[in-house]
Amino acid sequence: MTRFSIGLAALLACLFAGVPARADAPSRVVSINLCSDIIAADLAAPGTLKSVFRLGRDPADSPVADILADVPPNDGRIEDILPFAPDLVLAHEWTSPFTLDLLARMNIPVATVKDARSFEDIRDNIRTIARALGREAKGEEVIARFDAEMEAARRESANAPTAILYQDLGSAVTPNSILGRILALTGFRNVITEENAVGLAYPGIEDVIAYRPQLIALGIYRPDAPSQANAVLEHPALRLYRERYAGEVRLAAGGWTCSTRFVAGIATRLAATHDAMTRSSSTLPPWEGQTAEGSLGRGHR
Amino acid sequence: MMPHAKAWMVSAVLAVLTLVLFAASIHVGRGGELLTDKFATVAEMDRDIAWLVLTEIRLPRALLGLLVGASLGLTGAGLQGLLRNPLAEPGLIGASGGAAFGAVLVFYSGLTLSSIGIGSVMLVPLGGIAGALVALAVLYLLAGRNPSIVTIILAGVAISAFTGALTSLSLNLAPSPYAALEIVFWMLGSLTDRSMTQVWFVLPFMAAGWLLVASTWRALDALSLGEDTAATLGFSMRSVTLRAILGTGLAVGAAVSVTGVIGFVGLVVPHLMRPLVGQRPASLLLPSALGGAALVLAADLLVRLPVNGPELKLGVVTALVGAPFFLWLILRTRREAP
Amino acid sequence: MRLTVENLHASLGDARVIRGVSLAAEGVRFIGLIGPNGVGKTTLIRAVAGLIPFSGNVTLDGEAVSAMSPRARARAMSYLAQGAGSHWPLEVSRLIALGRLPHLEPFHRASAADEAAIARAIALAGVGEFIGRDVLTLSGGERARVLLARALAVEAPLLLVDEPVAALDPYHQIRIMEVLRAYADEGRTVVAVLHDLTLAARYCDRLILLDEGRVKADGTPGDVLTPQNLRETYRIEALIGEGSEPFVLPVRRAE
Repeated sequence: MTRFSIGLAALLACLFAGVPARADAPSRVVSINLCSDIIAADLAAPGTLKSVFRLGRDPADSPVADILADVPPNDGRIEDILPFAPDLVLAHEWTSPFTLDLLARMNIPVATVKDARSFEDIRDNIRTIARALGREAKGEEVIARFDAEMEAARRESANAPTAILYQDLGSAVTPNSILGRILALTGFRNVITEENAVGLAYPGIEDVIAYRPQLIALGIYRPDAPSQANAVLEHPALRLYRERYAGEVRLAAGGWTCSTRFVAGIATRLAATHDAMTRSSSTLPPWEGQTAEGSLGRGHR
Repeated sequence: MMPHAKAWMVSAVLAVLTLVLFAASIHVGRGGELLTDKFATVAEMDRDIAWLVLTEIRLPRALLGLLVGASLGLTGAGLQGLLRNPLAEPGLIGASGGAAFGAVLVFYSGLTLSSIGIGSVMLVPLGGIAGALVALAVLYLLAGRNPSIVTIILAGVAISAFTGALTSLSLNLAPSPYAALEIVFWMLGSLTDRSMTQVWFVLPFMAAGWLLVASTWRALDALSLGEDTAATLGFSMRSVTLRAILGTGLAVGAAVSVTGVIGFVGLVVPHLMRPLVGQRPASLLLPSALGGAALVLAADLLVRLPVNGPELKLGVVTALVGAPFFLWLILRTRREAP
Repeated sequence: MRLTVENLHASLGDARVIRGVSLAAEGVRFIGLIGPNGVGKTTLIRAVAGLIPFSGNVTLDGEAVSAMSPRARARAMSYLAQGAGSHWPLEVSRLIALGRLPHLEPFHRASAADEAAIARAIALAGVGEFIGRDVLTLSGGERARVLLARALAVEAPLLLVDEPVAALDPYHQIRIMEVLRAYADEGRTVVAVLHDLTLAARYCDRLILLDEGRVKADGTPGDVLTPQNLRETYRIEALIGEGSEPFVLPVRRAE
């Protein structure tokens, strides 16, 4: 009740007094979106982040869940936001337009991140949030570290091994998605060549096998929740193919719901996999039973 | 002996047709490409991989198409005989919906009896069977004694709607983030990317279901003359009803638990068979089973035709054919009824 | 064949319909069960057929009917329901063949004996002209004969029929009664529930008059169809003709 009355007072103050757009750095920041949660966790000055979106604290979805464990959660609705009396709200380009409209009418500044399709998009998002928070220098620091990690993961290969990144729902990443670009960066050739707006293609298991990928990278998301979606990854045919004909690496998909600087971790894993694969191969094409270093188990549950 | 000979001939033709479609199902891949082309390659790895595709992807898919189609056709003919109603079939009367609910409940709860070594995958068909049996019991309570067209359809609609809502609710509450999307699979049916494990799990239940339904064959004929007459011809109504319903629950429950709801097969196939083998329910059982298998295999070949984009859902194809057929059937039956 | 019914009681729901009916028939061919609406004629015949539970004894040749297996019972007595019909548009000879179901072995085709029995039933009922036709396309009277042929095909020593001539034209009424008479004359017992007293008087060897769940009169048509019985049970005044072509003509309600 007390929080609500504070929020109500703040609301009324905003409406009647008109909060100046940006006096100094915001001190009451509320993030209503997982992607902005993650970026804000890096950039926000200590104590300024008053609330984060619920998923930001879920370890299955957020790489910064432990950092945000003490920050109160919200569900992204106006009545969740207002009690915190924010002077800055961090959202996503696809946040409900009604919510954004209402925030605009209350003169609460909003900074939005966008869906990242390229590494430059990731940098842009960091800069946007950094600017909104008044922490540009910190932003550049994060970007520099991201660039360094990605550069370290770069691999060239004359004989790029073919790969597919296959995840729940039987979806595979296309070259024009972040993960597709990471595959290319770390020296793999994506067997999926089509490009579309979503960044995902849906080959059936038979098609996956027909592509003869030398590496199958599996995106594992919430492995203990049964679904048809992740059952596809454990289909016997796919498992047999992995055991006999391809390398395998398992990646925790929680790291890429939002494409943030944390995809660098994926890049590092894939770079290590690439090293393991190319080190032990000769100039001969497809071998049998080659393992990939860094993989958790060899297709056995 | 003529009528019998004709019935056997029809069944023989259907059996051949089913085998041809089964072979085609194994043979034909996405967009119509053929498996033999893969086998023709010299490289050993390609042949090994083609064998892998054959045994682990194509074979279970074709087998399940055959088994599920046969189950739906047989139980459709059996239910029509039991309820003396040409509009009865497991999908329309809610058995499939109940099965989907039961399967979804078990699947997404991750229920296991690991203490006695039974994993969750094995329990899903049991969930489907339990769901189907409950739905059938409710239907029989509502409409069994007086199976008029209107009562059957209304009861079936009510049960289907209710189980559909419960399924949707379960999917919303399920811990899996994809559950709400997967409703498409459960409600529209699919044979894509099934495995041999699933075939082995459902086969015993289906076989038991088929035997139970088939055991009522003569009783169904006697039922054409009404329950009283059938009783005086030496058939125990309770035993017949129990066997028919239990058999339907087992076969349909197991089928739906691995493929989702595939509707209208049990309705359409017996009707296609009647002009060929006559109106007696007993003579319809085997041809309907074979016809159902052929129909599902044929529909499953159709869904593979689009080269780009995801495959069509099997239930969509059967509904596109079956629903107009159903409407036509209603109109025709209402016109004939006083 | 000897049919005995001892002290039979039967209820429909909460109502006690049959309140102690006893009868014995040996060597009697055609028994007519008569009485006003609602006295329990149909209930009685259904109880004997084993369709509803009852207390008391029903025996055929000394063997209790309730102790028989369903198949044995089905071979011992054949039942034709009131207003019987077919749910499916079956072909006539296939429908009649259903009468042999109690005789068919589990996985065997119909035998020559079965085929012969079917042929006899067709001949007796005079429905040979309808073979090959769909039973639902026949007229009411024709269909009634076909369904009767089905009941005849069982060739059971006891035939129970419930109002076989209701809603039929006079020609078919007479024809059906003649078929039943012929079947009885082959050495079997027929028990028929009848409303038409003239037909009952003309074709039955014996009449049992029921009133309020009990046997009011039991004997030859001449003994049972008396003005007093008609007045007390049916509450009508009627003209009664005797002789070789008896008739009962209801005239007015009794005061």
